[in-house]
Amino acid sequence: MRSLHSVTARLLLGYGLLALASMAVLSLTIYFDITGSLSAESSIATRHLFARLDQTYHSQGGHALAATIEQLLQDGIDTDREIYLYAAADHTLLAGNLTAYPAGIDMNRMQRALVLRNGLPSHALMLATRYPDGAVLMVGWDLSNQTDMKRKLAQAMIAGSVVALLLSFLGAGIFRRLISAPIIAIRQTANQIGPGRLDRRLPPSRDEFAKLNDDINAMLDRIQSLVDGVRTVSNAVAHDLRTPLGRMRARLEAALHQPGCQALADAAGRTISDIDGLIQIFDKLLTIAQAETGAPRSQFARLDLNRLARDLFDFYDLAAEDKGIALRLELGAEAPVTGDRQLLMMAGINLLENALKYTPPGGEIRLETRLSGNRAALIISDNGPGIPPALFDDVRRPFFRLDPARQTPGNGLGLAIVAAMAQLHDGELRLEDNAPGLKASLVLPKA
Amino acid sequence: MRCLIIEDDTETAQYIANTLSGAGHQAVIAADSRSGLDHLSQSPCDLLVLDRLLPGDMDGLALLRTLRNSGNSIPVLILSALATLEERVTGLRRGADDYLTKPFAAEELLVRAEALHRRAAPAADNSELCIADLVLDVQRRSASRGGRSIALQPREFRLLEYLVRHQEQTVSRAMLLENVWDMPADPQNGLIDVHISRLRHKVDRDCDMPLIHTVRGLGYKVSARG
Repeated sequence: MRSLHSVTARLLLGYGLLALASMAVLSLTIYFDITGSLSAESSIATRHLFARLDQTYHSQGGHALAATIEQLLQDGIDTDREIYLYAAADHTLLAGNLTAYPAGIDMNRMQRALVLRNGLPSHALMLATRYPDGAVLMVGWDLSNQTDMKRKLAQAMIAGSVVALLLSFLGAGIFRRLISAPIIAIRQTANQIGPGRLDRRLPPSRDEFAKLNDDINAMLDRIQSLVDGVRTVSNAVAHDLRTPLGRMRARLEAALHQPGCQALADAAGRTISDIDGLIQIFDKLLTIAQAETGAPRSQFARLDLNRLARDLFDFYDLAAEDKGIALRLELGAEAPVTGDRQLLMMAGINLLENALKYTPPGGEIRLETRLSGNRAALIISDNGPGIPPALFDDVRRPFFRLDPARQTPGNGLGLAIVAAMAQLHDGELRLEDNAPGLKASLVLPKA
Repeated sequence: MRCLIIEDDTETAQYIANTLSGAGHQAVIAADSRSGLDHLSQSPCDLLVLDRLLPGDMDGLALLRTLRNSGNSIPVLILSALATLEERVTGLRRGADDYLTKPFAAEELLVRAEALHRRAAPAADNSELCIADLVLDVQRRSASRGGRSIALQPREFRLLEYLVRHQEQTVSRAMLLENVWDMPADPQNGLIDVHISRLRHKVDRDCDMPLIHTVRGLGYKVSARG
């Protein structure tokens, strides 16, 4: 029940309320039925006994009435509930089981009253009458059993509601299990497909999820065929573009080695460099495209980001020194990540090349690794001109150039490659203002 | 060196053949896998230059598998338009000894082909490497020239070791990148040259006979012949 927004929580709330409401209706009905019939029974019994004693008094007189009362109190039938009183005009008790003459009892009217019976107070239904000689007859029915019964009923109802509530919790739990198994399957598949395992499919099912699973699988088939299409096309382009470019390059090289016109030789040489430049752009685009489809994960292994940073440093420190730039290496704690060394190296190279390109002589580039929580970062920061923060998103796009006239060397693919590599490794490329300069962090999940 | 070229593009095949024969090697061209395998079974070869995308039912990798499964350990240089790192790793993993992508420079192909041929020759006991008066102790990772010890950083030693192991043989910048630094692609900014010049300063300084030579347009060579 993670939040009120979860389906299970809402179901639980709904079913819980429903269960409580139906319990309440049921309980109240039973309660009023039972208590109603109980009080009807007591009032009938009271009237019946009263009528009988009243008749005894009229036909046989006060002595017979007293004797009948004593007899009724010893017959063992309802003696714990029957209440009798026969008193003289001066309230002297003549017969019955009341300890004292009760005060405040109206004559000839059924009423509830608190009386002392056998020394104990008890709630009772009372009917009384005064005869012409002033003597009083009271007949009553003890209601403490009824009160007891009501209390038990109420307890049973509360217990019932609690059980109903617990059952609806249990039901919601079972429902959650039922519903979450297929949802977990869908999520797992989606999580595997996201990073490029496009051949994953949902298992077939026969419940309500069957149609959803079928639809998702059909969608995945389509995505896979599209991606495969991209791959086939890029292979075909690779072949059909590289082969003729290769031939052109070969012809130019052959021509270059023939003695002849110097101008032609120069043109051939420059054309060869252009062809090599084209192929480089093409390779970079292919690398980005492949990383974005998440395909090249076959070489993933556990590696140490510190080692990678050291290798980069070893490779670039002399070049930085030659440019009059101080390249500093600052390694953090051991930072294991899962990835392809060559691809991560490519990302690091692109970040360093950028930094070297834009940092002026006398500047400083820091190459750091940092471990924080479950993330490991390779951070390259410089104190060059940096990138306006408003453009941090744009610079990740292929061919985006800070220099709109495209005069500076490069083709605007460097950061796009780094971003693609970060994405392939379930990480991200974070750009920050180093004030002055750029701070670029390749943040990866810690292995 | 006798080379077999399996390549379906006639002009490319001819260019490879010309490059190799121009350096004094023999080159035979086969246009598909079947005729290539036939040729290999009939006449011995020292090197196979193999295209990956070949016509017919057998592509370059399938041919390579057939070859390696039959116990043939001929050095194989794959020359392919499939250029991504992933394809490269696949090629090397399936038994190729080197992988060059199209389009390629003739010199690069030649240098790599010759390096493969030498590698195929049985290697001597390599605990100590030397050329002229330069001695490398591979175990202790130390170097000395004419008895004077040279202080080298680990990566400088790796670079010198690679060059000396391939002495009298040109190695390209790309080969150094791949084998010494394990770097993916040529960053094209003369980084290798900076490293070499630093190394040269340490190794050849104050010596009458320089050992590290630049081969223009190709790469570098450690040679005692000047």
